[in-house]
Amino acid sequence: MAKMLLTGGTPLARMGVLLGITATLGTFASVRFKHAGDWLPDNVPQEVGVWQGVDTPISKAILASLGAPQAIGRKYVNALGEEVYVSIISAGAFENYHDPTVCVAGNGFLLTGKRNFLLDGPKSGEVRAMVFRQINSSTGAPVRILMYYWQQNRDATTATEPVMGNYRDILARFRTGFGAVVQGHQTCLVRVYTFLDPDDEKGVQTQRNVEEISKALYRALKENGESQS
Amino acid sequence: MTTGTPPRAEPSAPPVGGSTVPSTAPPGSPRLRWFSTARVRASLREFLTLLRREQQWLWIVVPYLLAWFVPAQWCWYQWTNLSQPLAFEPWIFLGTGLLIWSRRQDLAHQWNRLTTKYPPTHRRRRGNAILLVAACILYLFSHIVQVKGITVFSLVLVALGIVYQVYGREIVKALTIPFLFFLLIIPPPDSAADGMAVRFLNASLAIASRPLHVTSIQPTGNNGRLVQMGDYSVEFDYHASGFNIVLHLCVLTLWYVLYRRLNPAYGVYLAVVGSVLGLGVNIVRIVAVGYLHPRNQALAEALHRFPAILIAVACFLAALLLMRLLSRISLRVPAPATRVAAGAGNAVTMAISPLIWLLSSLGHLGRLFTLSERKLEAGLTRLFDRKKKKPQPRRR
Repeated sequence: MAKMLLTGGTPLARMGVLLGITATLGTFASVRFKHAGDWLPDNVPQEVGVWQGVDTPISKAILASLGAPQAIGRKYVNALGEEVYVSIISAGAFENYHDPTVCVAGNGFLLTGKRNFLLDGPKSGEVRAMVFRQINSSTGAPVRILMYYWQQNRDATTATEPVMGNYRDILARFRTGFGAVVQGHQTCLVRVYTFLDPDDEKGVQTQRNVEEISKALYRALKENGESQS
Repeated sequence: MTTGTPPRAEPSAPPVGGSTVPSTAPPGSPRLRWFSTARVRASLREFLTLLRREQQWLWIVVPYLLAWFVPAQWCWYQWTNLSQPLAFEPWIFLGTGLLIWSRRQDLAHQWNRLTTKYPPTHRRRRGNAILLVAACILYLFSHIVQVKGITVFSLVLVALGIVYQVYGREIVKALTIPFLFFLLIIPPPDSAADGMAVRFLNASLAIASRPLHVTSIQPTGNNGRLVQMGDYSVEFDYHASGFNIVLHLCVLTLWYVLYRRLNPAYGVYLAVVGSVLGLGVNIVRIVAVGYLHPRNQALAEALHRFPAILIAVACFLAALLLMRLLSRISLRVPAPATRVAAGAGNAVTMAISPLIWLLSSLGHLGRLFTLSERKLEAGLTRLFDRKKKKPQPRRR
């Protein structure tokens, strides 16, 4: 094949074969992206310690804006009435990758803090913690959200880079796309978030709640990824 | 056209004063009208004969079309919605083909000069595969990052790479204008187009607000605007921004000026006049939608969603008429220095693009404007049979 490509046939035939191979590989890349979005874990825990999970399906309109991926929406509630919201989205094509710094900010919230750290010990994956703030127009009181966000692959590796910008995030897109197309990664986008209680000024209790749910989800996805690979 | 081994006989120069394009009418048959079913059938027969003779080009055409499959899907919504700002992009293929067709004599002369002066393996007659290979690598990269602008750009480079490898640098230089026009098929970042559409919408609504007695304008999702008029409100979105009309009109004007090789100043005037007309029509549309909404919502919505590309074409034709009128009134308005696209092509351009030959043979689409302008010119000459006012020389 290589010999034919380099020396055999007419120049037009050689160019045509090169073009054909290129076009086929391009189509193959699209198929691999679809494969990357085929993983949705089925072992997302219904209970996490004292937290009870309640399914809150994500609306069709939102899913349509994300390119119609598979998704799980859930709310965890404890006996004190505290709530933590979770969404898990299968990430195939890049239109599924909506970054919270864009989407939450687009709803009038301002990003006031951001930090990356290892979620579950030194050998675990990295997650991105963000704090958003908005002034309530009716009461004048600030509304704050604490969110943990990460992209988790089947092999438990994670990424936190934004990939929404076509050109702005092109290197991050290349890394993610390389993983999906060449390495065959299957990925889920995980968002765990809650509203900070006004009494919890420093957010200590809020962070404890979000971290507990996030660790449980990280372990569940890791276990699901290992069991099915 | 020699493109492989064993080498073929080089194409001869086109006969003086005649055409080397096979006539679409059989010898001795009565002259066919420029657009008729018989001509179309005859053209199709000749095209199939050409395809059978130039089958080697299928090696390129088929995989090239296959390479467009995924990017076309990515661009599908923007290309098929006639009010989207980028709805003109699919027409760039046709426009580029017609531009190449209009330059076929230049290409033929250039190629004949090269074939008589240099041997087939000379670097001026043949390029190398570097550009094509680089374009293929860029295409694969664009599929990994899934950026449609890069993918489409790589496909433009692929076309350029093919022409360069087969025909060499000189022919590529001769095709500079068509390839630059072909670059318009590359979609810009969505945020850029959306940003411009919002600005135009805001400006159009600001102008239309007075006749509509607008009390407030609020932003909505998808970059729309909710306009409050008295006790009802109407939502306007990108359909009524006016940016889409202006963009389509400018591209059409550019193609027209390039195809007919007109005075660039005339092109600028034409674009400005057309854009003003287009924006005016858009503002009238906004006012009409606002007025009709409480009375006939369906009609108002239909008017709101009327395809911008059709408005742009109508405004372009109106601008052509207006420019004719203006250039007769004053010498200060540049007249189009026209050189009508010449007659038939030859084997070289047929080899370069059988599709262009087909388009030319099927309907001589490029002649449509030429014929309409000639008729218009004759009519206006009769109507305004007076001398133009000449600018007075300055007195010292």
